[in-house]
Amino acid sequence: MAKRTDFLGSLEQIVMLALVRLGQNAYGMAVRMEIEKRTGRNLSIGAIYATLERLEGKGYVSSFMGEPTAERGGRAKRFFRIEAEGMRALRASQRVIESMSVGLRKRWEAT
Amino acid sequence: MGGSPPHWVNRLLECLLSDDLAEPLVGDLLEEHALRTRSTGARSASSWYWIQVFGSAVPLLYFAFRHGRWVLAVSLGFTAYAVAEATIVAADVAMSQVLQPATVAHAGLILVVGLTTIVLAGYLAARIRPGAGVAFVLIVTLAGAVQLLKVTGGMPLWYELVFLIAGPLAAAAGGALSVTRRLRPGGEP
Repeated sequence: MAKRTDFLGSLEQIVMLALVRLGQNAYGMAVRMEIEKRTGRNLSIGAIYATLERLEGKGYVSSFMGEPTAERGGRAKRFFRIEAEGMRALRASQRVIESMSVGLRKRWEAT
Repeated sequence: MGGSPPHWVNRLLECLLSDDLAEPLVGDLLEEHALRTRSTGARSASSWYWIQVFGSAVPLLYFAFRHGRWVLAVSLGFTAYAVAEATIVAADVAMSQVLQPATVAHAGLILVVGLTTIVLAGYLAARIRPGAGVAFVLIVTLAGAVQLLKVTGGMPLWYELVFLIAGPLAAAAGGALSVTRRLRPGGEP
């Protein structure tokens, strides 16, 4: 059984899954657009960064600055990647959801 | 509402946020705004930009509050205010030796020295931490209002009114100067 602190909030899980999908190209705007494309949720960039900073504070993700580009007004991208501890926490949270969902399919179909 | 996002909004964001957050966040906004301008048009992209700016304020402020970053900013703002106030009081005492207190000449000179000091203090506060520059503007505004309420015949009323309006503007000018220098190509990192 995973420790209680390993369970992630829903937005944390969504952001971390976006990081997994984006791989090397995971930066704020790409994460925001990936979530919008897959879930239809138009999250603010501030909510994305607040979540990423919180995950970084927990040691689940790390970040590094890229090179400045002209299309960004000379500003650099900040790339994020999941650390091993973060991947463990994500898997644990996903397992909890899966465990709690087992056997509920018929009930959902009935409602 | 079409065209590029206004520069002052980007600068305000950079002034309010920490460096490691401001640069990528504003860059992301500009990049996606350019993408949306090409795909959906300038008006739609501009609306999206403003929704993003306002929508980002709550989560970022909540994050800063939870992590105590505002405590340091407010502390630095208060320190800058204390230094500026001490300088103004010292100048007042020194000028009272040569000029009759509460005259137009005396109040005018204090005003010049005071506003210059506030510009410098605002600049230094924002240079140490952009959020401290914002806190300094708020503290100067509050102090000006309190001073106006408790005016008891020391300085003339016009002096207090000018300080109430020009004080926050001077503090904001100092902070803006610091941000402008920081953002200038080849400026401070």
